[in-house]
Amino acid sequence: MIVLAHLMLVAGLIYDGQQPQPKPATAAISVYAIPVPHISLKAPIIADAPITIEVAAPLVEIAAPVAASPSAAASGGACSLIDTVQADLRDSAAVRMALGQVPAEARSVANAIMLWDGQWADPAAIGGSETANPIRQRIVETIMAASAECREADVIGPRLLLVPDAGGTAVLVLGSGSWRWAALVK
Amino acid sequence: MHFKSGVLLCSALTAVLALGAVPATASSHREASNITKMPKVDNTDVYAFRSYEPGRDAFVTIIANFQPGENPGDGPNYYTMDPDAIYEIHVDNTGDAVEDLTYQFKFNNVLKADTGRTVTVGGRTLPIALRHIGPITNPNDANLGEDESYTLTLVTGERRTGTRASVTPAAGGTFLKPFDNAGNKSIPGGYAAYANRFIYPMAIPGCATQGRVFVGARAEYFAVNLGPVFDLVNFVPIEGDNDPVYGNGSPFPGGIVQSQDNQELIGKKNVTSIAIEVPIACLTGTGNGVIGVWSTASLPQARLLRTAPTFNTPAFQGGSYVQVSRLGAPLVNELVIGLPQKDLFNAVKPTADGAVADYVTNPTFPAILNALFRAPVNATLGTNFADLAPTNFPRADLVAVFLTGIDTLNRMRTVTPSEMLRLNTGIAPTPQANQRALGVVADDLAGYPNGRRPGDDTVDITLRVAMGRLCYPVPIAGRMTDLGLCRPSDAPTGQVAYTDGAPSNAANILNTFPYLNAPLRGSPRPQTAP
Repeated sequence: MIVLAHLMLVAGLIYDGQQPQPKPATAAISVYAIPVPHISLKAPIIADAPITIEVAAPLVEIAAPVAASPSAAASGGACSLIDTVQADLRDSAAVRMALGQVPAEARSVANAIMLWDGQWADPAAIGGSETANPIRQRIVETIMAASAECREADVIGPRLLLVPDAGGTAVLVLGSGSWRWAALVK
Repeated sequence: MHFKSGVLLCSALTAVLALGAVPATASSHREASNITKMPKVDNTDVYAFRSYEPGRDAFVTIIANFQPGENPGDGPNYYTMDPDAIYEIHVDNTGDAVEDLTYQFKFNNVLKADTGRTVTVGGRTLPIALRHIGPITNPNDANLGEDESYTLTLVTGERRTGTRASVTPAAGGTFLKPFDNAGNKSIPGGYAAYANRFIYPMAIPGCATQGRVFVGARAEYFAVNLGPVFDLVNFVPIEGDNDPVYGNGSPFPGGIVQSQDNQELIGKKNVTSIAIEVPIACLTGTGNGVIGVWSTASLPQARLLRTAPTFNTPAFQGGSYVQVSRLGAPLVNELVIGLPQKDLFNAVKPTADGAVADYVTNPTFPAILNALFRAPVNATLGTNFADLAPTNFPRADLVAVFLTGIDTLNRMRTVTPSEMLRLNTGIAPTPQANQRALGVVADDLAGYPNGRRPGDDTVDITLRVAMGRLCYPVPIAGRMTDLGLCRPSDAPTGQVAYTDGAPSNAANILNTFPYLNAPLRGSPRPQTAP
């Protein structure tokens, strides 16, 4: 069966060095008398539309993706103290100076510094009291200024605070397992 | 609890892993039946990390690899990209699982003068059978009979309906792809120097700082011990010595040891890399600094083969572009998605990932390992394991790694469960010399699953995480820290040093963009010969 097909082609660029040549005029090509099977093409399916496919394996009922805020329990309560603490640390020149004194041995390869994991890090391990105290004090002050609801909200897992320091960005780590911000001020 | 019967473990694992619940070549290679028919659009690996090249830490590098298992000597055509396809790198910076930025690549393979190189023989001028006729030293070299170029478009918004703008070479001209590494005679002077000329500074619309782009063959650096795995797992997949990177201080008798002899790809295969380096400020939008990254390849919906194909038009193509390959986090379609849904996963967008959520919350291969191994282990060791696999269902730890990000490590402010790499651009890159192959679980927060670097051993990381490693405290700055995702009691083998024995080390690849080494050459042999 003979199928007549018309195809508009746009020729590719022909190169001479790095400068592209002007494109040739658009060429129209008609293909005649090529014996090919007759194919009745359906209208193309719009690929971006949702596609429903029957599958034999059981599937969970698909719920529409929900853009949700991080759970209250996971992120520190109805108010999230992490952003506030991070901002206050970043704003403090004393904190930035202190961070510069934390020795390399107290930092991970990705510049993480564990400050509190149920108890405050030994000041001697992170450069001494003059280094540890400004950082700890700033954190405590921020927590104390927060509402009781925020301080007592459950937090699961560590919280990472990114604070610029001389080496780039320090990752200050607070928490482990289940904890509350209030525990840092006790 | 340590397993003492190496032979028993080996035989049990042989039975279990022969079922196919194993890593395959590259992190996602020929993993679905339909993509095996289309190697040029088979997405094998995606990497996303803050650039650790000295002086480039204000940038993010994203690498999308295609065409698995490239043999260095596969002339005359080697590995051009598919000119009918579009290859895309997507970035979500708002957390709604919809791309906000897409870098779209479209390739064009041009036969010079419509003939390529010709020779005159007996008075007749005829095209030759090869793509080149002499040494190649320059981009668009005269000895090349065929040039491969590409255009790059930045789409802001949804990939098909968003605003399109051309990304151009900062110095003008056209983006070209280098000829593959045929060998020393074809490319004298060193392939690395030749290929470096195809690293282009690029002018990104709306971005004050230039980025960089490179597309070309690179040496594979996905560490996987594939052959012995499919030989009925002819090894014990637990660290067998006190390897400082992979061991846990308790070597398993008869366990596999790390060796380059265990590599299926490294030192043996090439791959085609699409690599971009973009300023962080031009990726993060108004989000919290965490970006989601994945890549795709799409083909026109319809193809009509020609009985008289030409070089430029072997077939007629038409219709909407249909996504046929997709990759974010490594090994998802290989290990996580069930066989009936693998092609579907390749075709859908992250917004549809709810359809496959069960595979993450209730993963199958740890269950297979338990089903076939638990009874023999208990009988031999006199133990009483109720389940070797983690029992915290739904697996919140795997949901965090694959679908949402881990809170404050790499989770966006808005969370839409969906599969993609998630990179916290606020965490500074770890210098190459200090990178830990096991990433976050080895006290390197800049490693996988916080993005993915080429040196991260994602096979071993995934094995350990799937068997419950995150249910135990992980070291952060040397302090064992409970991530709160699950409990040690949920994962009886969560601290076992699972490994395939194929090591990875960032020191073995480049410290500069595009980070993956120059490709293996087709000639001369061996690779170490001058």
